[in-house]
Amino acid sequence: MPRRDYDDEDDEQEEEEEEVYEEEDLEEEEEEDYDDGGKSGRKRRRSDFIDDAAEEDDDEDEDDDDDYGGGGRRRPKRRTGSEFFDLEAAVDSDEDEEEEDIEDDFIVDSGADIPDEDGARREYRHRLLPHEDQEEDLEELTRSIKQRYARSAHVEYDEEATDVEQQALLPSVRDPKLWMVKCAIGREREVAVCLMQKAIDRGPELQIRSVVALDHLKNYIYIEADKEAHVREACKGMRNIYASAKIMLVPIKEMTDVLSVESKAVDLARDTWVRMKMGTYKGDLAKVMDVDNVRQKVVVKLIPRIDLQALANKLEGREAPKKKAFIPPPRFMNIDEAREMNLRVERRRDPMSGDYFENIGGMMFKDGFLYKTVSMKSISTLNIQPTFDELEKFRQTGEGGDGDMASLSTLFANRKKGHFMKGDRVIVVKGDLRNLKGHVEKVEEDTVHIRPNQKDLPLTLAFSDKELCKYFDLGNHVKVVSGSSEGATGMVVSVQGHVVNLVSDTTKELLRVFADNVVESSEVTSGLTRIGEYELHDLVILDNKSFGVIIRVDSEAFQVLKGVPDRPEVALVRLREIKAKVEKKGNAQDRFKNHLAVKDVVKVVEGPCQGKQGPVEHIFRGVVFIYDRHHLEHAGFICAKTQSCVLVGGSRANGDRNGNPLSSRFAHMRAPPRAPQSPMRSSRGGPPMNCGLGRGGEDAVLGGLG
Amino acid sequence: MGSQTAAQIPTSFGHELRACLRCRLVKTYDQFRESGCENCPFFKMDEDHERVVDCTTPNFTGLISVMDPTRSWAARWLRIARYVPGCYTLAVSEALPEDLQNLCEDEHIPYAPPKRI
Repeated sequence: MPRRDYDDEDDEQEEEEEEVYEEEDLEEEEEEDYDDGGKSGRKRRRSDFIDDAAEEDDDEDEDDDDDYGGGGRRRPKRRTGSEFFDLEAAVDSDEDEEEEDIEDDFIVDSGADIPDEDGARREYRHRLLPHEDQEEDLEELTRSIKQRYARSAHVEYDEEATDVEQQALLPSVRDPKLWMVKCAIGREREVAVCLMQKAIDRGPELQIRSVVALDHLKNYIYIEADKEAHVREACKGMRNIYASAKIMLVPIKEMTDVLSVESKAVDLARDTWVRMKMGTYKGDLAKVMDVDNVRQKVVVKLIPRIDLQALANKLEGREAPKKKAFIPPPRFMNIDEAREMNLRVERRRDPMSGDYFENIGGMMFKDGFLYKTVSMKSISTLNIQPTFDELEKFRQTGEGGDGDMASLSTLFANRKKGHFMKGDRVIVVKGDLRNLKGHVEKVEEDTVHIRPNQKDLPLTLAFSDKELCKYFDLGNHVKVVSGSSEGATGMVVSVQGHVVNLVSDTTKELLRVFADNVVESSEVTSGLTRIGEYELHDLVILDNKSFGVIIRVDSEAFQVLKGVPDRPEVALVRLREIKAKVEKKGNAQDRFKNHLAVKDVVKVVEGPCQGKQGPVEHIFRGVVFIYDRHHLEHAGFICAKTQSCVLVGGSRANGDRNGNPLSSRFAHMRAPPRAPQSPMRSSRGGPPMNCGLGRGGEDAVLGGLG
Repeated sequence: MGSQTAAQIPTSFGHELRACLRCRLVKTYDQFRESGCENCPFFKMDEDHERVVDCTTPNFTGLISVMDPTRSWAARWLRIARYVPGCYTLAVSEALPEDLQNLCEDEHIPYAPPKRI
């Protein structure tokens, strides 16, 4: 019986399949018409295994398949599989076994078969069809099903992705490699599609497996192929790939990174702050007013940058000399001004929101703002930090009537709520009693009672919190408790309405903050000293070539003094650009072969930092970082070659290459001493001030020679 | 090269390009309307033009042309090794609408919504 063949001779089966695999390639190469060749190849291949009954079935299936192309190939298997199961059920009259359950079982059972997969995947096309018309024992049937379907069933359920399975799909050495090829800029997708067309035309002759064009990587594409020669062959004749283009192999560990996409789901909501990416308003802050997901458009509110004169000229048909690249400054639209220019101002009602807009030259204005409809692609939604000035500008017209403004951004939210506490110094900013200063006595829901500084007035006066503002005298020491500069402390240098200017204690720069965000405090912060795991003065590795010491920590980035000895090089790096911190204490030798370790005091004797002296903070790759408190730059850090330094207090007489204590003793006696000898020095010149860290060996020697 | 018929390849690269939300095949709107999706014939995009808008999206990242899905590691990693050769995208931005997801379930067709990081 044919089926027995499968059961018993599984190995032979695979061999046969492989033979046929080769056969198929030959066949296909002969075929001119790619599509037909595939199908007929399949027919021929299958006939080797399958008896006539199944083959007939095959033909039927293939006819049906014509409509569906390759995708339908899965169907015949299913269909025939289910037919098979029905039969089995008939034999068994076991109604519990549903098609899906059985297939699920296969998944569990095929766990052990995973090593076979790689080969099996290649051969799954050669999937064998079951024989439906034989009656067999149930066990034999299930066994044959499992053997036959285990591999392919597992592959079938590939789609149900779990993270564990993703691990199993990591590239192996048997997989084709990824090659990075340079192409014409902006044409990456075009090249990918052209290569696809070429593959369809040339068929199996083109031996590349896939081509990847990433959106964010310009100028390059990735081609997946077994050999570099295949890549070259495929790229021959491609206009957009330079003939001389370098083909670079992607290391196997980086292959998955090529295909990973950072998909951040940015949900645009109303009242989100965004920035424009293109056009006259590029870089400007805007607020989202309406989102249309269907058409991928949003309506944003902007401060108009309109040149009324130019607009008037344009609308009246007057030829105006167009100043190239002239971007008008942002200014609120004044309707009356526009009317004066004889610009037609139409009052239109927006059907969606029911608001009235003024339409000038096709642009919609309201309250001085421009409401513009733009595509989602032209706005930037991530990490939008509205600056202080921009927010202020947006506030201007909104303050009076627009009650919504208060609840919108967090920055605003804090501001409108009274931050007043008992004892706060305040000043009246609205009303008849403007500029009256006082102290807060009591705070209620909406009213604040203050005790004015003027003696003639009643003891307490009540004001609404909108009429008051916190006040600071020049010279007060304050701390910022909310907002973008949170945590900073400093001294007040000027006050302008709601805004306080202060000089930061740490960075010595001028900060502008809202008075509501500030409280009087004598606390002096030492400033930010760490972001993440990296602290000030840590030695960090940036990438394979460079490393350096962190000399300053800003809110978002670090200033790093690089390990370049001859000239001081400072780089501004972000947290993610830092690869690792160097923990281990390096060792090195100075100019005279004295052993250097961290905390030793050294002096620089050559190079641009000659004459500087200080304790060693870090040693790495032949370079030392010294902290000299008299050095005014780079937080006092100096980078120098170990060869250019001399250990302060170290011996100069140890010219011996090996650093061998015994021979150095002789050397010491032979060579004329260039430096005053200290009685302790009898071996390798361990500095007397060394606290003996890790010098156990030497001390023993010392003791020995003692 | 595989013995499958390749899917149509996109005829242009502009805004008309759309990706099927299930199999991530990339073609133009017109191509989907004319011939549907080769991997997802059950969507019947060629019959119901509204379906094209529901089942495809213009928001996608990256393009990969798969010549030989069965032997391509990249196709395997992206789980498109079972589909016909053609141009696919690495990731789509949206998930299939609920009613279509149910349709997939009914037809026992595996569907995995896009991963969100």
